[in-house]
Amino acid sequence: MSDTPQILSVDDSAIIRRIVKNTADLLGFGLLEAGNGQEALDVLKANTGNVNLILLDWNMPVMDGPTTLKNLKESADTANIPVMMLTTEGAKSNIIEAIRGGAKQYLTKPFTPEDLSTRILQCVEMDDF
Amino acid sequence: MTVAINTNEFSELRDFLETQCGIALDESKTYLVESRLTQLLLELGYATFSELNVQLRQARHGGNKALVDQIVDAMTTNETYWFRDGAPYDTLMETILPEFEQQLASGQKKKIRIWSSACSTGQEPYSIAILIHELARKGKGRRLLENVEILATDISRQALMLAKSGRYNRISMARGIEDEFKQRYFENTDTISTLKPDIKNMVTLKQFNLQDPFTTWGNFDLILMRNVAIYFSRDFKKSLYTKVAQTLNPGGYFMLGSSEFLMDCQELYERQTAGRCSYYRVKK
Amino acid sequence: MTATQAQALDAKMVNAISSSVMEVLSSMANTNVTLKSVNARTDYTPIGDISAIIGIMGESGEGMVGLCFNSPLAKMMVARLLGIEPADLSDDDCCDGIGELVNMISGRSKTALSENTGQPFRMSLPTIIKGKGHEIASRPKNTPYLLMFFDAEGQEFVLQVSFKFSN
Ligand SMILES: C[S@@+](CC[C@H](N)C(=O)[O-])C[C@H]1O[C@@H](n2cnc3c(N)ncnc32)[C@H](O)[C@@H]1O
Repeated sequence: MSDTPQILSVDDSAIIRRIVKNTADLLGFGLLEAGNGQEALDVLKANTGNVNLILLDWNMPVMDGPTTLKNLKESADTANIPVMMLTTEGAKSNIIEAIRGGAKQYLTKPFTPEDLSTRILQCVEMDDF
Repeated sequence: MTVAINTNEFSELRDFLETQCGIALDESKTYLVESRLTQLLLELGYATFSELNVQLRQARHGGNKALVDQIVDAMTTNETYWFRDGAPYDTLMETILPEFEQQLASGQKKKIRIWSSACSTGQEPYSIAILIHELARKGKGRRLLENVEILATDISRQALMLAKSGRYNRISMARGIEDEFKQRYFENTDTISTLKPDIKNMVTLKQFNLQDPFTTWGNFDLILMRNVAIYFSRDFKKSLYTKVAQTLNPGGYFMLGSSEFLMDCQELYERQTAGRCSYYRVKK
Repeated sequence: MTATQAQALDAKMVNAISSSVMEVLSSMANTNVTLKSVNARTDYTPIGDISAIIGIMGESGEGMVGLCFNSPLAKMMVARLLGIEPADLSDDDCCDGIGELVNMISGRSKTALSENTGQPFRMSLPTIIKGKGHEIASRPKNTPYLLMFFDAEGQEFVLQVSFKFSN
């Protein structure tokens, strides 16, 4: 178990996870990775209490973002971890579905490095890093 | 359950954004605007647009500044680059900063004050600080280095936190900074580059909404307001550019983003061009 | 669908796709892109070293979008996306990076198209083809298509859209 706060990046694209890693480095977070929702749930189980933020893609194989979100919010262990959607899906209906489902932030791809880091800071409500 | 945005509610919101936040919604990108607004609505914890509008109506009278700031922050991006667009920084290096040095040398001025008025995560003010160091290194800016004040402000608290840290990751460092400067002015690890204190300490960072009066900041010799007025309504821009003219010292310079130009207020400024860069000089 | 309606959809499609291309490449890959020309030349086949094909499905018909990059441009963009030197980029990462950029272009175009036309559209996952100097050959028969020529900081790339109306 580590003391550094952790971000879990859930995305089937390794490229996106690498980009998120750059931002995690900047903010002093560790990075955990999962290629789909099922993997994310497994990673969370192995790191109970150690994940401070989940970045969640929408379209993924095995278990997609909305299903993962539902699972996260239904389990007492994970319900309070802030979730930020990071996805190309940008229609109003998607945003509404995700935020009603408990996501705290919604950032659409493409994004700039500055927007990713400011949104993460907002999401984890940090005042300093 | 969906958030129905009926036309009346939407136009009420639009009106609020325009009159209270100075933000004009871009008609050509309705889908982006609507999704930002929807996101904002839900993030603020409202279930429908009419609920938000009730809050906004109260804000309009009581002046809920925090809500206005939050909305402006959510509707704008923090995208920025080192030495953005190149040409303006060439003009600074070749014309404007040497002139400041000259004014200090001749005793015409005791201090030079520069304001980066929408600085986001700091690349803009720090790029200028780097240029001033470069001039001093070449023996053409020693006085300027000792007698310059750089104020950098933004509405976004998170962007300012990042600017204050002076830390940038590899992706940000791949956006516009030359390797030579990266080696000279940063401490570099594999993943993070941290600005050296000489550069960092030249810049004072403060949170500020451009809608508020400028009176607290004093006068400036150069004001940058780059890539921020793109979101603003014509009326707000007009009042902003008027305030800028009043805040500039006689002959002071004003720089906008490369795709921006002064529509109104032309009588207050004289337009100058150098290569691909246009900038303005206040007439007084 | 009448000829004018088809033309209007074409215009919306060109608009949605080109603005998505510019937005994605600028914000993610820090690459300045401009649309130079749009035409329907039949004597031109896009050639590239890395290309991507995406299917578009909508109520009014279906089609495909092909994007074709030369290798130096692809490397430059993906290196900027990841914040590394082009020389340090492996071929696999370059392909993955292009795949992700195209994925974002496709996602953004889908949202823009659906919201601008009021009809839902779907996009397939991009298929990436690599190989020095290959042609985008799979141009559907009897289907009108448009070529969009872009300039990316002095290098050219081509996007081809074809769309067949179902009625
Ligand atoms: C696109 S960035 C531009 C940054 C930098 N000037 C440049 O050109 O690279 C726009 C910045 O303006 C800030 N901003 C937007 N509205 C503002 C307002 N009313 N007052 C102060 N800052 C504002 C945003 O928070 C954002 O950081």
